[in-house]
Amino acid sequence: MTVRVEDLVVAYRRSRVLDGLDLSLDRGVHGLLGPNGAGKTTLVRVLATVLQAAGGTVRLLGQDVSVREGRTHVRRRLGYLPQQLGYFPGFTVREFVEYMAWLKEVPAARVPGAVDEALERVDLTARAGSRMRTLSGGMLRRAGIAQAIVNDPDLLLLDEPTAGLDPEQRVGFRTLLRELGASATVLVSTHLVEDVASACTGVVLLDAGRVVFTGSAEELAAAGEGGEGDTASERGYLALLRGART
Amino acid sequence: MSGWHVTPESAAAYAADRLDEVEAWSTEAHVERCGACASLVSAAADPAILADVRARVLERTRSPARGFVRLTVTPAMGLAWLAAVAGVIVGVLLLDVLDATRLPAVLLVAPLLPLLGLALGCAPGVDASAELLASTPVSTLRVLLLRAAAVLLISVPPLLVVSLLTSAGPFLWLAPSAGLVALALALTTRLRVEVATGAAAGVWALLALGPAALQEAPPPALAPGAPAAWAALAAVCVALLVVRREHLDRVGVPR
Amino acid sequence: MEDPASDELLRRVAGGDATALADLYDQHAGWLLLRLQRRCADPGLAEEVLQDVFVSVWRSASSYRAGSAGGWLWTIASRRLVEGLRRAGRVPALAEQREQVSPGVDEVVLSELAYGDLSSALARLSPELRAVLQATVLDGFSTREASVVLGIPVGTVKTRAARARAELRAGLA
Repeated sequence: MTVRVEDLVVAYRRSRVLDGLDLSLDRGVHGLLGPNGAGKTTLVRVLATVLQAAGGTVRLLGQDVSVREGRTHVRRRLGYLPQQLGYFPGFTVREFVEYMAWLKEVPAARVPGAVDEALERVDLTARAGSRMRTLSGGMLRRAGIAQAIVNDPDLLLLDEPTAGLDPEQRVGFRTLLRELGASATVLVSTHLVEDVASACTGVVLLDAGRVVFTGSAEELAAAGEGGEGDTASERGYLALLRGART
Repeated sequence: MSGWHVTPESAAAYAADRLDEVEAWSTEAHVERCGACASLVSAAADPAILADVRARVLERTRSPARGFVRLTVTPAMGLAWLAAVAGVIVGVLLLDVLDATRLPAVLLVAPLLPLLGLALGCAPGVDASAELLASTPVSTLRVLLLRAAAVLLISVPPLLVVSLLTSAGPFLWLAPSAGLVALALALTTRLRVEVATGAAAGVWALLALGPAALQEAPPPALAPGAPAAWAALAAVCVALLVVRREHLDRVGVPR
Repeated sequence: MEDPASDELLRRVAGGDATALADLYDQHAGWLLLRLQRRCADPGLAEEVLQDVFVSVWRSASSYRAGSAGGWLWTIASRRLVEGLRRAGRVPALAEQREQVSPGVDEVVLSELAYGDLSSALARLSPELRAVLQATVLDGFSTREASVVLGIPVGTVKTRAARARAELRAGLA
């Protein structure tokens, strides 16, 4: 089990953003769904070891992340695309990804090759020399994905990776997701149910700081038969949310 | 593969395209599997082209050694910050040149500049990449020390020039600068970086700025014997920082 | 298989050893260059492909499984050559799977290559038929790739390959 979270509590000021959350994930692509404010980004940030839990245990890749050594180990094997991608506008795309590879302690000799490959996988090779500030929203997102995968991570966390991608890029991205899911545990937070339906093997549905459903994409689709919504996955999503709230 | 091998003559003939089809095919199929013949045929190719491509290939294997430098750079330390530092230094210089009888202003202001740089360089919301940085295994202590060093490197030389021009002894302000930066870093193991730098600035206000405003005589923090005390504070704080470095994590990450 | 030294070099390249890459280059770059030059009229492209080959070796040496290092290098080179020719605009890029030429024929032809009796049979083939045979059998190109490398339509590659094989068989019988 790559991700094992038990009774996770994260509080912000007085309110509990995550409230006794349990989650276990293994290799494959998992979609993290839920309404705005459900705690998706908070959960991703805890798993990225950026945010400290107020309670509960978080074990990633077999390591306890409340211990520094465990955290360092996980961080070497981690890929993380934050919702807001921080970057230096003056860097070129290649410099940005190189810099991140360096921060993730990719062996120096392997950095150029790893950077080339990451850029190729997100189809940004042609823009490798462009400054970050000149990139469009979709390209920035892809540069963010490139830095996330540059260390060939075992645990990949992507917060809204498809934001700003056009339909063609979305399709390309889903293909990439499937490839990545073959060797790593990938958690994709998204508000687009259709992203999950076609590329994810598993679905985690979050509402009000708790996990209200885990299962396969097919199970999600089957959960909403006869309900409202445009697609089977959407119907399942709505039905499950409604069920959790009553 | 059996007894069939390329000879130096046949390698040269292959390179010059003088072999008949069957011999050429045999050569090509054979060198895929025989290291010795591969070397032999390779030696017959144009050495100038090979050297050229070799250099370009090896160039791609070089590692980026610029990582360290990049770490020290944060968006806050761009042109705006440099301009602000320059402005403060020119202002201080003017003050001290116009009125040489008072306590030199450079002594009072100089120790605050590195603190300001540190706060701006690492505070939440300023360093947009802090979130990513916190998710990587790179040591936060290393990041902070590198940034503090960069801030000092940029602000100390011009201040040195000013203090030489106004004959204010450089050790009088260099020592408190180091002491305050070290104090701020040590406090960061417990407090948020902007709070920690604020607290260090508060210490300076209490010990130097306040007394200087109230009385004519130099405050104790700037007395001739003070540099030793500041240096001692810096040493203690650095030791504390190293001991408590476990607690330095996720600096500058919004909660 | 017969070249354990290159296998060892590739293992070290996979570990990030740049000197191993240099040694590998010194042993194999020359014959790769010659072989590329024989298949591509543009000398600049041959050079570019050669560079691509070793850059991608550096990148993906870890995916090499012990076997024929030279064969692996040529596989990379042949793919890069096709890509390069497509880029150069000889044929528009096609999203396509690499199709396999039936392995039986290849093995028969290759296994007899080193021995004498094929020589006269091959010599009787027209240069056009020989070129197609070389691309599909010796170099392992798919029909589509061969059409890019030779600059002739896919259909022509197929008919010429079939005719070349038939004539070879007849010549060997």
